[in-house]
Amino acid sequence: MRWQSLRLRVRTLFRQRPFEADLADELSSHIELQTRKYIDEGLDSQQAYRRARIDFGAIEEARESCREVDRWRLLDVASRNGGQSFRSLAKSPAFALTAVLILSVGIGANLAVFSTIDALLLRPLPLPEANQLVEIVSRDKHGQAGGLFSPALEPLSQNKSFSGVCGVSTHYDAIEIGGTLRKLGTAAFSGDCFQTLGIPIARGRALNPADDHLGAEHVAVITDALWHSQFGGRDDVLGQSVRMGSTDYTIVGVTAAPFSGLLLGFPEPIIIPLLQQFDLLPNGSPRTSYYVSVLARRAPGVPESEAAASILVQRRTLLEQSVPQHYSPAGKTQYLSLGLTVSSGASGLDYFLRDRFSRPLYAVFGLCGAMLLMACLNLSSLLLARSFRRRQEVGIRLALGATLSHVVCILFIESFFLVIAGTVIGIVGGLAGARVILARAGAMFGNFYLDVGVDLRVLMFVLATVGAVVSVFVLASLWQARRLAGNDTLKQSGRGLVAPNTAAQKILLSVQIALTLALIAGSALFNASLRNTYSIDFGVKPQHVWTALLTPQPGGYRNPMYWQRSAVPYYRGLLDKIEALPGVASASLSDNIPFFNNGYRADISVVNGGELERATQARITGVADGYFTTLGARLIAGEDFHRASLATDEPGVIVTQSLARQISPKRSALGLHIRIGTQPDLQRLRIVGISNDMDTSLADLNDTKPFLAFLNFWQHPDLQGYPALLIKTRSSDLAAAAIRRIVERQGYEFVERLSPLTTEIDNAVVENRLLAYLSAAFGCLALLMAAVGLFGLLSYQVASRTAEIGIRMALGARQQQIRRLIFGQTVKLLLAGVLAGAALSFALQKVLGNLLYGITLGNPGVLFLSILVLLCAALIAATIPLRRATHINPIEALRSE
Amino acid sequence: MAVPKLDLLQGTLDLLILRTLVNGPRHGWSISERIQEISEDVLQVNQGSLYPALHRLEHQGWIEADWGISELGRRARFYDLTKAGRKQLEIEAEQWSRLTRAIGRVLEMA
Repeated sequence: MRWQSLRLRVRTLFRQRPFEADLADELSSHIELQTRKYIDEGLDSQQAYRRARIDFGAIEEARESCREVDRWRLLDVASRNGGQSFRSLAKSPAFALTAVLILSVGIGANLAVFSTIDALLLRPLPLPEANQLVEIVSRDKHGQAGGLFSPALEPLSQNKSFSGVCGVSTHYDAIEIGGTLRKLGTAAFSGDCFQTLGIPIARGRALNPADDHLGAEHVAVITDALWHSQFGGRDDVLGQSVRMGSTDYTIVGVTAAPFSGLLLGFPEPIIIPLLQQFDLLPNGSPRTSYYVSVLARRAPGVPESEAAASILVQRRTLLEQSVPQHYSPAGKTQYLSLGLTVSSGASGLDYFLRDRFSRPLYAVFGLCGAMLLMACLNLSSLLLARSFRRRQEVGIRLALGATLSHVVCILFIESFFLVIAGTVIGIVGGLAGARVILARAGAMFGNFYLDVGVDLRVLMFVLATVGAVVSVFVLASLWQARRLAGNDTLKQSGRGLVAPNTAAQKILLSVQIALTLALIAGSALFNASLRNTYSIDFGVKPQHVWTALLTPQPGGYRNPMYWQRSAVPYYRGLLDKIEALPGVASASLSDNIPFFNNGYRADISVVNGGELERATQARITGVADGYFTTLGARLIAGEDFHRASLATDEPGVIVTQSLARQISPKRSALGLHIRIGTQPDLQRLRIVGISNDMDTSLADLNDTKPFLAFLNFWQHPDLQGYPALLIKTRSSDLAAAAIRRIVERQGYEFVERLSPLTTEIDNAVVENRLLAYLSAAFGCLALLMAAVGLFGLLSYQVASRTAEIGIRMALGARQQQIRRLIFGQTVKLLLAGVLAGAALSFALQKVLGNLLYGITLGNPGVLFLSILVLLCAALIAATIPLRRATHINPIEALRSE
Repeated sequence: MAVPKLDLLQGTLDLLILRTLVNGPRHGWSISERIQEISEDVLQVNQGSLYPALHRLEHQGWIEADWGISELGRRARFYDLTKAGRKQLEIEAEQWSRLTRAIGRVLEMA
């Protein structure tokens, strides 16, 4: 565009005297001059003016052509028609409010889900060139992903495909800051991590390889967030210390925001060197080998495939140099057989979130998309019907030389206001919604925190969404404008004996009905699936059962040598005291909260003399006596562990019925000896009891009889995580305060979270619940919209055919025939929608198959009900105007417009 | 007996407008009058297309407009040639004379 032209156009926009007035002045001055010329030639003034006007020709046409020169005239048109459209909307506030509400819900829901997807799945770490980062993942023969032991980092750093490597282990620990105890995520970094990852430092220094040695000074780097929340952002933070266990770590640096850690959703505000974790090996010597997640930065120009190939070549070396020396021979063999793969590390480490939530989230995203499409279709058809009322005005404008784009613009302005309002409310609501989603998730997972940032992707998404909405409306307006331009509207308007052409509305409505039915079918599927989930026999009775996660007080039991000796009497005392509380039926301990975390997976085989037979895998949980009673499970054979059992007694194990059958199909497994994994003290365990089948993880709803093996806590107190207290009460009341007090008085621990077991179950199936509730809400909303759309179309159609109906009545048609005429069309419309909807529902079920549990066929009852609701809406919609039309005098009907 | 008036050939209006402005700014009416006068009433400017043409030329940057006072003491828009306009006029005039020369030769010799 020429500079001059741009300048003129901008000036036209901001000029005080509007373009139109200037143009009018210019043209009228021409006519005046011409008139003057004729007067000078001797004509009288009236004749002169007449001739001047005749000379000029069509003034309006000239004016329009002048406007045409300025392509931005659409803005001009918009501003001239905006006020009118606004007033017209204000006259029907119910329509305007509904439309804005529908749009904002549609846009907001999409934005909320997309920001969640962005935060969880798409956003890269806030590190320079994060896309160069890869994670080196080990996989066992079952495909279970894991890390490596830290000595592998040394040979890996020699690999030319990488410019740097980094080993990270993450923890969730009780940390003492300024005398107050907090549970915080911590990360231990191998020496090169800060350089490799390029983590920016705001204050002090980064950790460097010199810190990562046994015997080096204990130092820590904290994140910007912790600096502000715990140290008030003060400068004297450097040199202060944080205490973990019984060790003080001096703060030497603060990372720059927004870095908050490497683990997705779980920030680690405290970073210490890998070898300065206060851990001892079972023989009391300090550890030099830690299990770490391995991140590496690809060397410039090295593609991921090449990096993966170099890892394959190096696999043997990496494993051999890092296999822990204290492993049993079997354990070593297993470690050496790990496969190594390379995957993107751009968005950080993640242990389970993406696996568990990506598919449900995309399903919800699909739901929201369908919802927004539905909203657009619905509004378009309502707007089409509204704009039809303006056909006379549009006809006049066209006759006077308005162009098609001009008319589109006029028709679009109304929806433009709606889109703007809907978008603004939608964005505010959507971001708030995403925060609520993530905050709820935070409550589920304890220390979970994920920020909903408006980044470029979210912004692009909003733009694309609004663009899509706008283009639907523009297309609808264009279509309508073309139709109005094509018809000889002026002649027809008002006198229409023929029904207006509502083909567009009909098509839109059929699509809406189809979408609605598909949504409702989907909702029925999700809800049936959820019901099925809850009707699963987990093998436990969760009513009146409480779980309390126990967490160490400062200096609590970090010294493992001391702790192993004192843990058994400590917990015996704790359980005795809790069981003595009034109202408590039984209590037990487990190293897993049922339905929250689900034990580690290990190989199991029967020890038959020197032979190992019937190897399989099972999940291993350590439990104290009373576990099965407390959870409402039962022992089918054998007996429970004893609270008095000693470490020196023959170690026992309890297995579930299916596992017992698997390892001993012919006779009772009771009394058999099995080995679990590679830990030395688990190589010969006697099966002392067989429990009923129970599923305490809900990890895989299609396998509700997972193989579980329970170790005797009193014999193996070296628990994997912090222990959880399980308490069965006689009524629904729990003396929560009393329990907290007892735990704190016992000396080492405090209760971190206390919740009913039913809540843990709800959380375990949260994705199913989310899908079920959201799809139900969306289904209802869609049904409502379709019903309103149907009502709008039919009542409009009937009302505009009043004249035709009048003639038919005058010529002797009976009311029944008229009704058939109108309803026949309605039924056709519904039928088309229903058929398409049924096909869509069927396809949906295929697609959703693996998100659903125990579904063979969707609930046809719900579908029939929805069709019935739509039919009723149609009946009501047609009945009222039809009644009016068939009851008035044909003469009046003919006169009506 | 009036001389039959000719409608302008497509595209020649711009050329004529530019030419009439060579000797200083004029408003729309005076441009059309000038063209009619010089052509001894042979060329009739369709006034419905004069103003769109003026606006177009203005947007192309060949003429610029300013408000002034007309002979009748009323506000009127006066158009003036810009530098780019003068150049454009040369180009178009050259093209026009080449075209008429060519047509003349065809009429004479073909």
